[in-house]
Amino acid sequence: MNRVTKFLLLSSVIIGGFISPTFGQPAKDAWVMRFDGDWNTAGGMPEKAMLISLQGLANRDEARLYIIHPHDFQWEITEPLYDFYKRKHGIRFKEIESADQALSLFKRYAKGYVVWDTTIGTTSNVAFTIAGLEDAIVVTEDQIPLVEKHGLKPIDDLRGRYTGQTHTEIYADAIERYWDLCNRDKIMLMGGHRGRTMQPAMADWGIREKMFFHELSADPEEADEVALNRKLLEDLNVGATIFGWHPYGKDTEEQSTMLLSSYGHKMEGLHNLPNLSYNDHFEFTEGFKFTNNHHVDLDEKLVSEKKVYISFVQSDSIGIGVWTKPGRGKLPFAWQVTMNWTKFSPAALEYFHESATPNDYFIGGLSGPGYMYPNNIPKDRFPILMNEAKELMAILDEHVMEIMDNSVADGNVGTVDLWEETIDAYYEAFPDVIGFINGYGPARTWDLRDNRPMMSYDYYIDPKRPREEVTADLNELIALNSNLPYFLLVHVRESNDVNSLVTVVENLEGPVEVVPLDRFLKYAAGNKTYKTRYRQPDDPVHFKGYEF
Amino acid sequence: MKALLFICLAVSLLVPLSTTAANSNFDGRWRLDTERSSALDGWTAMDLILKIDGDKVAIEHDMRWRTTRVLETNTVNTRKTVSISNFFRIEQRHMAVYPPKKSKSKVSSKWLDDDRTLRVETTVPVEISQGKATMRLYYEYRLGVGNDTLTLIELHSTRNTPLVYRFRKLPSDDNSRP
Repeated sequence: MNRVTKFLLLSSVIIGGFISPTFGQPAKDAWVMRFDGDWNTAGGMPEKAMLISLQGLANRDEARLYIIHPHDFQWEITEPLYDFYKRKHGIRFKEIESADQALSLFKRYAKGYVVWDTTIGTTSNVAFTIAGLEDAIVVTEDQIPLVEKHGLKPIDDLRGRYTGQTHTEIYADAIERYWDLCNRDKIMLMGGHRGRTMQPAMADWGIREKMFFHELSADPEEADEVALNRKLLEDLNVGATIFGWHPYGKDTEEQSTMLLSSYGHKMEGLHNLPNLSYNDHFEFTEGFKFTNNHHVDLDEKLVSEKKVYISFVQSDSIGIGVWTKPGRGKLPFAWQVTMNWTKFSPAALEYFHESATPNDYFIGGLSGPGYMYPNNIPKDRFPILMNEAKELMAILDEHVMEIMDNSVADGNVGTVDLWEETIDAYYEAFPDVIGFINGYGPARTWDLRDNRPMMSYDYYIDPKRPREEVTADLNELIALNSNLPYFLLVHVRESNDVNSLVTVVENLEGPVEVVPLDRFLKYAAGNKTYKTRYRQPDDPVHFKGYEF
Repeated sequence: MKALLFICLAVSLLVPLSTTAANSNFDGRWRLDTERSSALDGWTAMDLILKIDGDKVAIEHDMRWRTTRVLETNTVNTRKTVSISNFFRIEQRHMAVYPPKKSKSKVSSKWLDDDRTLRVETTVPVEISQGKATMRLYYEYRLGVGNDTLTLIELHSTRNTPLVYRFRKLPSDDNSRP
């Protein structure tokens, strides 16, 4: 072996040992940045957008850069998950102090930069699309000197290109230029906060996966935008996933989710969900297996007493809100797991699992293998999607499916109930669950078949509602539903905390028992004091939907 | 005789005059002071528009949730019990307690406290997860000192704590909606 060969071999071992992980394992050495909470477009957002685009490129083939957000950021788990990576995956993180340092470390993953027009916020989405396709980082005019100092060259410049144009015109042009080159299994609906504040924290994932970014409206009042939005949805592959979130102020969550559901696609939010480009490189740790805290066997029967049975559920994605708030574990609580994280964020699911208390119980949802409105899913797609959901529920050891359909509602105005044929389809698709729960706010779909109840929420706890009013509301429901046992299913919105609910429970009147959701469903199966009901044709409709 | 006639005339004139004078202070648009009121649930804002026409009092609710608006009116009669279709109550919309699609409620009302309080009473049907139930409702609309504030106290037979809504009167030329 000559010296050159020896040198090359040794180099490959050394370099490979640092940069490349053991086959199939993410790199043990990675970097971490801490973001502040400034997402103002005239403040900290442009630098964050640049760094997130850099993250998407740096993490494309390896897990290199992780971002920690402040505790008051909507996704509160970034710091606990960072600890989890260190502890369970043995990741050795080095902290990056500045954008300049980040560019020094990761500029080699970028071929250049694309400039977005800060006078037209939505051009950042066009820039993100270009970034994914051209391996560019996304910058503003002010950041050009910085990136050029690092040797990066211009790839595209959107300044002035879209001046005076509507969103329809801008995205029509972007579709014409880039859509054919983009991923057709995933698309990024980069909406959410708009205007003076934008939080495109999920852009790393869209760039990594070469997605098309947009914030086209689903509001029929904006027909031109809806037409483009629908073209994109039609062009996506069957069973595709829409990442991100609907644009606040342009349309509603209900409209957006109804539209994508009608194509049989899945939604995974939110627009500010960070670090997927990093998380996606990990698998569950070796030997890990989900074991849920079941309190009943699948075929067990329970006999209820003359009581008020209460069960609490949180469904606004497990990664936000109540989980990290004080008091978790003091009451039985069901958590709707974002099941698709099994595919692209398994470490997060493992973190939740390992930090669960005996009172924490996981359930599937929302409506299927992603967030979707089942009254609107095409009939031929429904069984396929639900099979996908069943597979995920099996991995996650879940026995309850949660359903939600707000397609004709505006928050709490308009019905949120399920057609009988939708119920039929769920019972057929999920023969092995112990029951279903329905709603977000209160709903009134109830059924019982084969010892498996379909229960709707009787109450929704708004985190801003004073606890004494919550107590009075629950006591009033108990007074009205006087035929015991009464089954009172409560949805706890994100950012409530469990401690406050302990106080509420202490002040309830009557023979009240808070029970885990699986026991709740078994009790409800044993004594049907609720009335079977489905959505009725003359139920109030807020949103009349689309003309297809 | 003339004196008796004069007294009768004076009394007959004075009664409606005093009633009208007191009641007229209720007329107008009243905006909810959310900081000083029981928390709305589901709704984000509310105006009451009160219109008095003889014995009839129209109580109009101008409700808002985000961009969704709902206008509902209950017209009561302070001289007699009336039957009102689909009587509107300020629902706690996060409770699974629904008005039936069609209902009739007998509603009584009366002026109290030298016409500074309007009392309204009724019993309404509601739909709940267990089927049907009823809820007895008791309202007092109390005019505040200075006549520019209004307090609505609402009691339910099924709720042990009152709901108290405080309003301030908008200028007569202010027709803005909540």
